[in-house]
Amino acid sequence: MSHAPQHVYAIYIRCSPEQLWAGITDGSITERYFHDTRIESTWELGAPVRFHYANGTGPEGGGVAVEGEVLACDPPRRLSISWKVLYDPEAAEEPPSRVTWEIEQIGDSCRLSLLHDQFDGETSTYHGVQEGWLQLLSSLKTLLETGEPLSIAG
Amino acid sequence: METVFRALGDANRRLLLDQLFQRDGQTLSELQQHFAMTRFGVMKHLKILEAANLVLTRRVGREKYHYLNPVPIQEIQERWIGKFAQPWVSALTGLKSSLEAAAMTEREMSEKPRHVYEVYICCTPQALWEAFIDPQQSGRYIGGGIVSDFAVGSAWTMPAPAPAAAELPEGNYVTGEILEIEPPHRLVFSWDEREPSMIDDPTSRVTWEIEQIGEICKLTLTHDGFEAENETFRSVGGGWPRVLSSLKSLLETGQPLPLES
Repeated sequence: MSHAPQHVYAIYIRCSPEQLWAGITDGSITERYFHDTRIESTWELGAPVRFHYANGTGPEGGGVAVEGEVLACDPPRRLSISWKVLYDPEAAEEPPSRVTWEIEQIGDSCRLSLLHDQFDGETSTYHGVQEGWLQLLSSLKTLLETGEPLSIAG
Repeated sequence: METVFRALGDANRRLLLDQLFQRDGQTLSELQQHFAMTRFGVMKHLKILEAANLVLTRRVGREKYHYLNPVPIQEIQERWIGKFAQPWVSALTGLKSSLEAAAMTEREMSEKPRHVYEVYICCTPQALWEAFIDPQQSGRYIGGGIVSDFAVGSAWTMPAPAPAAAELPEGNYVTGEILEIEPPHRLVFSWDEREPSMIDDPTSRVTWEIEQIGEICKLTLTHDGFEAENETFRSVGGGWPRVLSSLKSLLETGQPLPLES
């Protein structure tokens, strides 16, 4: 059995779907847990999405860590964007992949599913983001439930 | 053959092969510990070794394991030395076919279904360990909690609450045996579902591993030992993300997630 490479994650967070949606799409929240980057977009279909370094430039000098475009946007349930890495020179040469967030309300909590797929094989992007998403999702949950993100070194 | 020479023409890559020679089957994170290089740097060197067929990889769940493959080096040896040492040639052929057989076993192993989850929790390893072994705490995030004296070879049970208990053998959702225990880092136990739809599924195995990273802990949960994607495999696949999310909430906020099971 061979599957197309993809990463699938699920996490349950005590918050409303609207709070979780803001946690994903509001730059002032993403900069607290998403590698110091602010997400920015008008969220119209086809509009650009960029993760800007909150303090201007990233470690490699550029001002944008990841860019893509809005493929689907249905607040507060589903967001799908293309994912072009700029933070890493090798991954930057790879074609864009796709990231989809899905929110499902369960009682006073939400189930967040994250799917990162459409990699061009087991690319450098594919390997590079695997551990990153685990940390980001754990930190997002902590931020929404306690008001403070996790302090994960590196 | 040129890719092999190019791959070997770098001190860091030779050190990577040395590491795999000492202990085969390491992950990127394990290999990275031996180098003053970023994860990305080590990954790039591994890719070059892989392209030269000097390193073989095997993916299990979210982990990728790296293995030293000496065959290309032996082929070099065969080209110039083989003539002077004929007996080695047949030995080499034997080695190559046994390596191919090993690779097949690995492929079969990697196709066995298993679940691997990781979650980062702001707590000490001791607090996380207590949350496993104290049934008052585990009962707040996993079924009826995990009840055992936590000695190797001892039984453990997950008792069901009153209405459900009547339908289950001895009133337990799950039972098993403690297989390994190493506080506060590692706990391994067998897993036998007692619900009628799963009671005939073979015994599987659960491993909790705790790694401290600064002021937080990384918890890795592996549920393996499945022969096939049976009902137990599907059932726990939906359950573990909830359990781990609830455990994290309990430790960080004092309250588990109030989710219906």
